[in-house]
Amino acid sequence: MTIAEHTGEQIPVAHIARVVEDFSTFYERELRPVVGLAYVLSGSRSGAEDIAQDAFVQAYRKWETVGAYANPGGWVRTAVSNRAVSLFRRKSAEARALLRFRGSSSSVPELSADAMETWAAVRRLPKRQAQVIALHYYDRSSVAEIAEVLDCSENTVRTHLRRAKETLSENLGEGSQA
Amino acid sequence: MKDIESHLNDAASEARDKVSSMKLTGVAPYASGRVASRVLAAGGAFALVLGVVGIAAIAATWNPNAGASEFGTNGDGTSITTVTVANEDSPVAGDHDDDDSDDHDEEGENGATTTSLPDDDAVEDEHDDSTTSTTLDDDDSTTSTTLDDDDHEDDGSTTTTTVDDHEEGEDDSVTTTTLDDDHTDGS
Repeated sequence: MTIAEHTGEQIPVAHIARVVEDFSTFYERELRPVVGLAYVLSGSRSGAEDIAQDAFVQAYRKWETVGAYANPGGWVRTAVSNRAVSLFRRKSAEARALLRFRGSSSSVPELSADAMETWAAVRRLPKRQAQVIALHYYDRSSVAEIAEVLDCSENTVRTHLRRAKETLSENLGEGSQA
Repeated sequence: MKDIESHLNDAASEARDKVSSMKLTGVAPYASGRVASRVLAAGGAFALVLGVVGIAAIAATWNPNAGASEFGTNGDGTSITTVTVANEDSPVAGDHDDDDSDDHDEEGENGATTTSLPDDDAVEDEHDDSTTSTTLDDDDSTTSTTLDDDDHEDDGSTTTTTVDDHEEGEDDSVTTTTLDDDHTDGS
């Protein structure tokens, strides 16, 4: 039985006080996808972990507020995607060197050359376009969810998607199509 | 040729696989308190051990009589001064340490006192009548001088004793005892 069925009233979803989820459950479920999002946007594995960890620490400190949001995962993704792009912009050379270094020492297999080239091209996009691509393709977020995370309209998200793919098709090869 | 959609889907799929095989090293925020408490506990225990070791080291090396001279020996160890007092009421102002306390704590059967003496002022005020100085040049020589100031009625008496323990006739050991009893006869 839903709340509306119980009360007989139509209550806007945004006004429904969400039952605060246990943080540990939230953390266990969201940590890896969020680290991955930070990874594809920053290109640094260790940097991605740090960024994700910082975001989760922030969420934990004000979990009474964040946990009551309709989509606390979106809140964390907003923080992580912003920080990941900033990290890449600020330390892109260092991140690439780190990626190459870890390729020879890490027990985890690195991405293929095609995948690395694709994500490198994504990271060279403007910030919003890179975030939209990462959220849409890596995180499998819908346009509506991306709009919520990036705090913009769905049309803006679609525009970013289209322009990003146009740029990527130009950069990734003549055979690619937008 | 792949289109951009395939490029992105393949790259995303590969990245997800890679991230799923990553060993994440971060500590969950809700566990950080427990980690911090363990770190603090370990640090506290370490600090406690350091403190105990430090106190033990200080106690082992600390000399409560720092600066006091040893009784009966000089700097190079070639001289021994022995003072034997027959009358316990007449402390002898010989070689003594600088401790101000009255250490009349070791009394022999005949009342002789051989331990450290009160300071110079205290001795002079009480009974400054005997002075003994013994110098031994030869390590093999040992000289013991017994003074009984009750028997010395003459003032300013001076006794010089020469001990020669070498048959060759060399004066390797000289003991000089000077007695200046100016209290007994009032002269």
